[in-house]
Amino acid sequence: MIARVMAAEWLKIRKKPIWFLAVIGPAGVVGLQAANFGLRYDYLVKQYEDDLWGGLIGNVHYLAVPALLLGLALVASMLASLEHQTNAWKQTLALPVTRFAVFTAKFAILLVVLAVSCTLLAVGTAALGAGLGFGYAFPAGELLTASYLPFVAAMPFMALQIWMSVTLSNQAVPLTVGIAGTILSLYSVRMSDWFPWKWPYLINEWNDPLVSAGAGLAAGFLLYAAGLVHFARRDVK
Amino acid sequence: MSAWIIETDRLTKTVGGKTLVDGLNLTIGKGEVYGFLGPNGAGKTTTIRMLLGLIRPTRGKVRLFGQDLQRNRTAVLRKVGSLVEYPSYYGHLTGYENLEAVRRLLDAPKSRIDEVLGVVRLTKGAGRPVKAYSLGMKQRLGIATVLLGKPELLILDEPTNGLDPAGILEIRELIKSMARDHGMTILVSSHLLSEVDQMATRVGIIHKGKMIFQDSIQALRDRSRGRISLTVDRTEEAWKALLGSGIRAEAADGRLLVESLSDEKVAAIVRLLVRHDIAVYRIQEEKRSLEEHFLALTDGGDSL
Ligand SMILES: Nc1ncnc2c1ncn2[C@@H]1O[C@H](COP(=O)(O)OP(=O)(O)OP(=O)(O)O)[C@@H](O)[C@H]1O
Ligand SMILES: [Mg+2]
Repeated sequence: MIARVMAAEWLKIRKKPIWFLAVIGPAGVVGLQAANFGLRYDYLVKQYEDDLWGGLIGNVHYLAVPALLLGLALVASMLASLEHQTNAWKQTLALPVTRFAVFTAKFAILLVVLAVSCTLLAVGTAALGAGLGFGYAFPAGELLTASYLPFVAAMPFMALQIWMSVTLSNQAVPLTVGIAGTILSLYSVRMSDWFPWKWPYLINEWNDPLVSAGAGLAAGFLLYAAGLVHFARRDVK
Repeated sequence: MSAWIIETDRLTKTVGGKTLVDGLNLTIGKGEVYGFLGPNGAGKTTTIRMLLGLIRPTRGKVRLFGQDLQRNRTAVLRKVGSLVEYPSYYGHLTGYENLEAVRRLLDAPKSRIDEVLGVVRLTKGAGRPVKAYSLGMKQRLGIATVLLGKPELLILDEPTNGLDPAGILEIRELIKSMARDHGMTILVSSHLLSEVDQMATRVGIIHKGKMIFQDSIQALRDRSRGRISLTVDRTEEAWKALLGSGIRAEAADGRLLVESLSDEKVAAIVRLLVRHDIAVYRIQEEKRSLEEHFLALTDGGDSL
């Protein structure tokens, strides 16, 4: 049933700028780092001379986190607005589909769109490194970790934004929360490891990115489940 | 097992201490066109939302096709097509794409889209974005969407709201043909009796959340039939004379009121009065339209 609901969702977002956002996000991050490395080439290459690829990937990752947090809030809001705009919830939810399927499909679409962005980010980073003359032997494990694990660590924000966007008809609220979280994330590296906005940076006292990603996955699932229960029980306007 | 397509048991919805729907027992049999009437704010839409599982009843139960709605929601809703308040649509998509989105959810065959577009005569405008549609076209798209899954039960909340007279007529004819040609059971809500008068077989009248009348449209017509008013010189004696022959009359400011009767009966009453030497000054029929009767019902709703 989720597949049926997702098939309808793909159609509904066809003319919305969701895919545009999915491309512009990683393109912007890679573009900014291209400018950064282009303008300060000699300085940065000297700074990272032991590990050129590692320096590039770290810089991309650092910029990609706020882009990811902002992007997921925007996409979540766009997905929910499809129904809010003309109050189509009452039509969708009176059809023979479960609320579980409707909520899960929205969440799944968000995951797929962001996974595509992360893939583009990985490809873009590799291309940028090659273009900067760092060679073709890029550290694949490091690149994939920096591209995909922040996405896993950001699960709680995806679940929270979908929950808020779907249940609140005024999108100013989830968008404000999303933007505030993005700004907060910029200062979160110095915070305690418990601080969820720090997780996508994959920095923790164990020096293991999987700890941050694991925490994100667990918290994301809990928030998804809470959102689902609330969505399934609430009255539809 | 009951034979009702829709059956509610003391359906109640309270929001913030305000009872919007109060102990409603609504029953609709197979093949009926049920006119669900009530003035603005009576609780029609709230009831319909509960029938579709969009909101949870505070108390009471909804059974559709003899099955508990809460337990068999998706199975039951597969057989229902619904339109709640103004139509829902995706404005950036064309009419065709709107139907396709719902078709994917229902897993209906693709050919169904052209069929329903034909039924509501929207084939021509189907390629245009819905945000450019007139209200009438949106409403027709809404009806097309309702029909997509070949439902056995239609639940239509004020489907003619905001339409011009031609549009109203068209929707009304469409509803009638759905019942007649496809044997669908239909619930149509409206705040105007005249709107469902010609298509409903049964009516339920809701007022301030309570069902104040539920019976066949004929029963409602019977109740709203006119009365005969007789102006006579001695009201008291005339009243007794009529009672002596088994006719109950109501005496009011020098007049006698009797329920509308056949011509022969009226002639018999006059003969009777003349025989008792009572002067008959005037005989008038006081007609009340169905609409007036409906208004009287809903104004003094609690007295019924
Ligand atoms: N969520 C809500 N919270 C509080 N009051 C509500 C809510 N929804 C509806 N109402 C009130 O409940 C009453 C019944 O509303 P409802 O929409 O069911 O009436 P209706 O019969 O459909 O009227 P109309 O003919 O105007 O469509 C109204 O007084 C409305 O203001
Ligand atoms: Mg209403």
